[in-house]
Formats: sequence, structure tokens, C-alpha cells
Amino acid sequence: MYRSSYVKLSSLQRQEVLRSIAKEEWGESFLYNIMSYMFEAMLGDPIYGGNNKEAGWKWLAFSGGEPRPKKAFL
Amino acid sequence: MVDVCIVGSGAGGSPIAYELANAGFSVVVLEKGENFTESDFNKDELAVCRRDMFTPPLWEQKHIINEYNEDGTFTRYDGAESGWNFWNGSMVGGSSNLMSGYFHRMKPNDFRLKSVYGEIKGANVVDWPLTYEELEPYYTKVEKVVGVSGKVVDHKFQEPRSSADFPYPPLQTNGATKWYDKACEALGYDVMPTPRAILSEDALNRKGCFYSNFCGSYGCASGAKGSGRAALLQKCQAKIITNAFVYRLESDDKRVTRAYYYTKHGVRHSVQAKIFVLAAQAIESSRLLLNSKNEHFPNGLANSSGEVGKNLIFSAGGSGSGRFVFEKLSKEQQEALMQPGVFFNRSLQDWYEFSQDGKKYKGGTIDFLFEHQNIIPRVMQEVYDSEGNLLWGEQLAKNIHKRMTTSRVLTFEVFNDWLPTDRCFVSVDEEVKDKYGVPVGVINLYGHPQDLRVGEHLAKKAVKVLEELGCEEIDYSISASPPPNLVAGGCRFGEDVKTSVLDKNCKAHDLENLYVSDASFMPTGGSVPYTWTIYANSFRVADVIKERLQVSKS
Repeated sequence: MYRSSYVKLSSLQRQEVLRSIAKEEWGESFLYNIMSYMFEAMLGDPIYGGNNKEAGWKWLAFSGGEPRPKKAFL
Repeated sequence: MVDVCIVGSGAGGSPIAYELANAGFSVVVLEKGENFTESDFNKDELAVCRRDMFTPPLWEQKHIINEYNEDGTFTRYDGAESGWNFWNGSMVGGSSNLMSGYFHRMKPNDFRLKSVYGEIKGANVVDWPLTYEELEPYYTKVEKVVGVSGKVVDHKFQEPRSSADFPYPPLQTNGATKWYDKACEALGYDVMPTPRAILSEDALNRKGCFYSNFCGSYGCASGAKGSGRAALLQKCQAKIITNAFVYRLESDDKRVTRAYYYTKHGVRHSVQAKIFVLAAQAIESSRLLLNSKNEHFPNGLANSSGEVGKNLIFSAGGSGSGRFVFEKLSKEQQEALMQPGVFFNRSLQDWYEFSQDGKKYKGGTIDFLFEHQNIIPRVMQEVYDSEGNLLWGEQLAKNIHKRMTTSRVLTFEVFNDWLPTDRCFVSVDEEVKDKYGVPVGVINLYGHPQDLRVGEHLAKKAVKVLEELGCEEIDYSISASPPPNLVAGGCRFGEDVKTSVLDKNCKAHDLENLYVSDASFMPTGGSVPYTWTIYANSFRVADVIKERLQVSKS
């Protein structure tokens, strides 16, 4: 797997890479941060371009608070 | 020259602006932040909670934090490097815009902690120069003018009231509160609805609560929340200058003469007034006084006692939680539990005072509430399995879905006295400056061991309720880590000019025309959130200033 691109790996190989990274302190914190940004994109207001048609919210039977933002702050 | 210049527009400053402007005096309010109104507020979790849009970026303005260690040393943290954030809301109305509005009065014994409970070794406990009876009319005034909803129920530590009940009926609650009430009954605890600074119906030219499901940390789009802005500043003609950061008060040997401030672009301006009122929040008010030293006050303005910044207090206690799971509930109960929007709103004050080993202790308050509805932190709690390994992929997706759709967390918060000590105080740093070039505040932190013991005692009582309710994963944590939104002290009021900064009317002993009307005046804090008491005291100080200005006018 050395020198190959992550996205070209098979699902099993990806799991293996993640498991080995997660064993290191820096790796764990890297993965945690990636997941944190991922969930921000997936569950933040759709105005920021993620959470397409509220798919993330619908999956979790969650409705965003009202009123919703009319413009992106960030 | 204006009659009154107020530094800060939050719960400490807004009642003064409201009372004096409505009495016909000229009032200028200097506010460091911007103005937002109902139409600006929304429930954008990313902006409000994850990118802190209402507080200054820490790389521009920060604190230095010195945490006391058991071996007598302090560990120094740079606020920007550590991300330790003590800002609460820089905006017109201050953090009262963002509060949850759990409103409890202090109780008569809170005003005389030393006489009732005695000295505590290592703590600077004193009686207030003010009694509950003197403050009571102002608590009542806040109920009516700011708007407090609730229902008075008789219980062991119910404080005396001049009116029978709250002027506004309680907010709607979730069906699960019925289970809670039953559980408390079984345990012999007194059920008490939590009073809230939220209008339950249209009143005071404001809308009643919309039950948006997102209250604490967010600005209120309905105007139901009793922020200093919605309830007071929007209802008076006080002139509010925004983006005005006051960095120095100038004085001669008797009087404050000018408040100097920087605009957003660093341009220097000043305001002259007959009377100055400082209400920048406890830490920042002490910082401003210390940064305003001059030839008459070489140790800081109003600081001939050396007491400015001393005896900083927070609220001690902590929090805990338990989880309702669908497996233990009927279909009907599941639906009731998941109903969004409506509140939980239950408190316990059965142990506001308690005895242990024959000694009487001051206890505190427990509030029960649903876990905050913000979805991102709730989901992020699931990324570790029970052994502490990171999860991803299908397993993570499965766990998240189950937890979010078939369970709900009930949390509790414990509020007890953060005892004032010599080791917990505000100073200013000799080298580190903010973006304006002004020395930053240093927060020296220490929690008295008794705070933890009392917190622990209360948390165990709250846990019993969660157990009785059949909750799972019950857990709690009582810590000496300070809640940055519950801060007071630093400019104690008292009779003795040698041991206090302010007199009974919150006027500086050293100066004829300087008042401090935020939580700085409090020598001890009570075992409740501070906001109601800050409002009430500020209305009291407003009456003092009003009378003084009327006398000088006639």
C-alpha cells in the first residue's frame, strides 16, 4: 500500500490504514479532527454547501433550529 | 457632558440605562461589540457554537490563566494557545442574549454567609452590607420588567416574596417531566418548576417563546428571552455606541473625568459624564480599573484598598447526565420523550442547606434540563467505542443512528458557592497585550476544597433521580474548573474602606462619581446562577443614581 493513493485502496485496505494510523497519538487526533469537520459539513446548515437537501438531518430525524440562517456567516 | 456614561450594555449596565434614560437623563452606553436584533438571530450551529461568532477571536483578545496547583505553584496558560475562552458575548445586551435564563433568587442566608455558617478556613467569607429584604423589591421588579415565567411552589427553602406568584405562567414542558415529578415524589424530594427569564406568552411588547429547541448559547429570535437588549435597551432612548472598547478611565483625586475608548479601527475617542458606571463583566471591569492607574491612584483606579480584582468567584459544582432509552419505554412514552422544542424546566433546592456530621453547610441548587440539542457535539460523542477506540464506517453510522433516534439524554447542573479565596483573583499581565495594545487580564484560578465536597453531596442526590427514572449510563463530574459564563466578584462591596472597593450603593469608596453595577460587587455568590441578582442590584443602583441626579438638578 506504500505510496499508493488512499482513495484508490480497497475498502479492506482503507480500514487497515485507518487502524494503523489510529494507534498513534497524532494519528488518532488527525482522524478525530477529520471526523469533526466531516460532521460539521454533514450536519451544519445546508447554506454552507454540505448536508445536501438536509440529508444528514433527515437521516437522524433531526430538524434544524428555527429560524435558519439566511446567509452564511463563515 | 452627558449625565451618565455606562461601560458595558449587559445585565449590569442595561437596567441603569433603562431607568435613567426613561427618567429623562442623558445616557451614553459604550459597548465593545456590535448590535444584533431579533431579525439577526438564527440557529446556525456552525457560526454560533462552533465558530463563536459572538465572542472576540482569541488571537486578537485573550486572557492569561494561572491555575493553582496543589504544590503551591501556578501553571500559566495563554488563552489563545490553549483555547481557554473566558469571553461570553460581546454584543449589545452582552451575554444576557445568549443565556438560558435559569432564574433563581438568592436566599436570605446568602446575604449573611459568615454569621449563619461561620468562618471557613482558607476562604474570605463575609456578610453582605445588604439584606435580602432590601433587594427583594428589585427581584420583583425584574420579574415584571425583564419578564420571568414560572410557578411558585412551597418548599423548604422557598425565599419570602412580596407577590404571590410570577407575573407570567410557566413555559410548556415535555411529557417526560411527569415521570420526573413522580420520581421526585417517590424519593420525597420537592418538585419545583425552574423559573425562566423567558416570556411564555406575548407581553411587554415582545413575543412569547417560539419553542425553537435552541435557547442557551443562541440569540432569541422571538424576543421572549429577557436579554438586557430586548427587555431594556430597546425600550429607552439611551445612546448606544457600538464597537467602542473602553481602555482607560481618567480621573483626578476625587472624580472620574473621561472614559477613553477605541473604535473598531483603532481610532481614539472619549466621553465626559457627570457619573460613570462600570459594567464590563467581572473580569474586564477589574482589568479596566487596574489598567487605569494614574498619579492619584498608582495601584489602579478606585484601588486604595488594594482589593480591586480580589476574591473573584465563579459558580462551583458541575454536571451529570443519564439516558432514557426506547427499550424501557412504551410507544406513547417514546413519542412524548422525543417531542422537540418544549422545555424540561425542573429544579431541586431541597439541600440549599444541609447538615453533615452535626455541622450545618450551605448547599445549593440542581437544575434538570435536556441535553443541548446541538447535533454535532451529540454525534461526536459517538466516535469512540466503549474501549476508547475510534470508530468509523458502518459501525459508527449504526451507533449514531440508534442513539440519536431511540434515546435522549437528561442532564443536570449543580450550582453551589465558589468560596472567595486569596488565590482566585484578577490581575493584568505586564507584557501580553490585546489587539488594541492594552494589557490583557490575568485570571488566577483556585477552587476551595469545600466547593467540591458540597458539589459532590448535591450531585449524588441528583443521581438518585436519574436512577429512579430508569436512566442508563448515569454519570456526573464535579470539578474545580470554572464555568466562564458564571463569574462575579473582584470589586467587593462593604462598609469598610480598607477591605472593600465599593460601598453599599456600589459606588467606589475612593471616587465620588464611579459606580460598578455588574457582578463585580458580590463578595459571595449564592448557589444560583447570577443573572437575576445582577439585574436586581443594577435596578437598585439605578434608583440611587436617579435620586442623586434629581437632587443635583433641583
